[in-house]
Amino acid sequence: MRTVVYIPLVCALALAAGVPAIVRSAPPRLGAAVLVTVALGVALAADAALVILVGARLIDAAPLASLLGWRAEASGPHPVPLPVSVAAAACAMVVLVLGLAEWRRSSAAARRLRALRGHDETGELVVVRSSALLAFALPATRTSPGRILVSDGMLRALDADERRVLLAHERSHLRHRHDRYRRLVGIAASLNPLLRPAVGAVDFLLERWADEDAAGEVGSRRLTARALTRAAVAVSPRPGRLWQPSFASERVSRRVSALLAPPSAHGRRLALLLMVSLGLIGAATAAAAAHDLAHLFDLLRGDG
Amino acid sequence: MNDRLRREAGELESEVLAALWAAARPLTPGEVREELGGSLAYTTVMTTLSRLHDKGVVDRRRSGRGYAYSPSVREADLAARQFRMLLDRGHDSDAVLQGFVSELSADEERVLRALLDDETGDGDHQG
Repeated sequence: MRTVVYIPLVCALALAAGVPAIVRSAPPRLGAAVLVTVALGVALAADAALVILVGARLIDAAPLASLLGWRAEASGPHPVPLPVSVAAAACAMVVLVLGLAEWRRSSAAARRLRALRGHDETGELVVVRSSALLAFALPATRTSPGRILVSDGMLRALDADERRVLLAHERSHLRHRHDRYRRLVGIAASLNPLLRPAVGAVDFLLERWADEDAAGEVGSRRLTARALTRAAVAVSPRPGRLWQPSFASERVSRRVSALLAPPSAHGRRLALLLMVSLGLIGAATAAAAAHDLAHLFDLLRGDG
Repeated sequence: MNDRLRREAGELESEVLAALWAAARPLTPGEVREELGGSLAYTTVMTTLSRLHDKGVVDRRRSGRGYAYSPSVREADLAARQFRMLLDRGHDSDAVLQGFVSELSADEERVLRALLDDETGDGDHQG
């Protein structure tokens, strides 16, 4: 059993630590795609590592192994220490429970979405009469195209140009299937809770991506920044309201400043370098884990 | 109609519907055209409005020699009911829905309001 099996776990921690840098400097489109891919790769590799750590111990447990007809000495000259196996087993249990919860959560939400599509023939924009200021992209399903859900209050808060920004922004979410990026990174995070920071980061990058698309479509970054600002100010709590989410709010102003100051070429190169190296490490550890996993299966079959 | 044209027609419908909702009173096709910047052909606006009317998402009534259009409250209330059901049945809708903007802290709101005042003051003449 080689120590390389521990690398994916370290890698997951490194990715979690590197997330803020990617968010800061990466072009949103590239950043979102690479972050989702690397997160999935690292999550799978780390889970494979857990399986190896637990599996090697199981093979070492002679009574069980002989009962099942496996060779007790199969794990070779570098056995996995008992505490590590126990910890790995505990982690695997936690991952399993969290993964199941996430899967049930997202499929329940998807079911509810389908129920919302009572009248599909009305067109791309669905206006919801509500004093709340809402604007959402409702992703396409197999049976119906994507929809833009906006409350009448939100439409009144914006002028004609700003409404074009809003529609272009939501359209970008739909056109580029941003819901899939979110679902995939959600799966990665439930497979490996260390990757939780990647979820918020991908959300932010997808918003930035849609902002950039909207700016391209209306032909003005300043107009796009203005629309965001106007909408954010309109939805913000009036004095006297108790709940003020400070974390989520940080993002709108970051999106506005990103629009007012386009990213530098230096930032792009830095982000590319960072992401390529993370991608290489991720790929290498995934390959190593896959190799060990294959080895483990060979041992289980008794011909290792 | 090919795919691109159909998509553009759909997008135009969204813009027109949004403009009708934003307006405080029923709008004539001419007023809709003006609200959308005046670059569209009058007949395009007319076609879009009658398509929206066929779908039942806008109402119209006689105004002079033509019609004035307003959004259908009935449709929007139906959508609101369904949407509320979606939200009421759990707080996990964020799994599939992503808002356009989130709420601001007090400090940020002050900064962004100032920015907005500047913007509105000197207009948006930069590309």
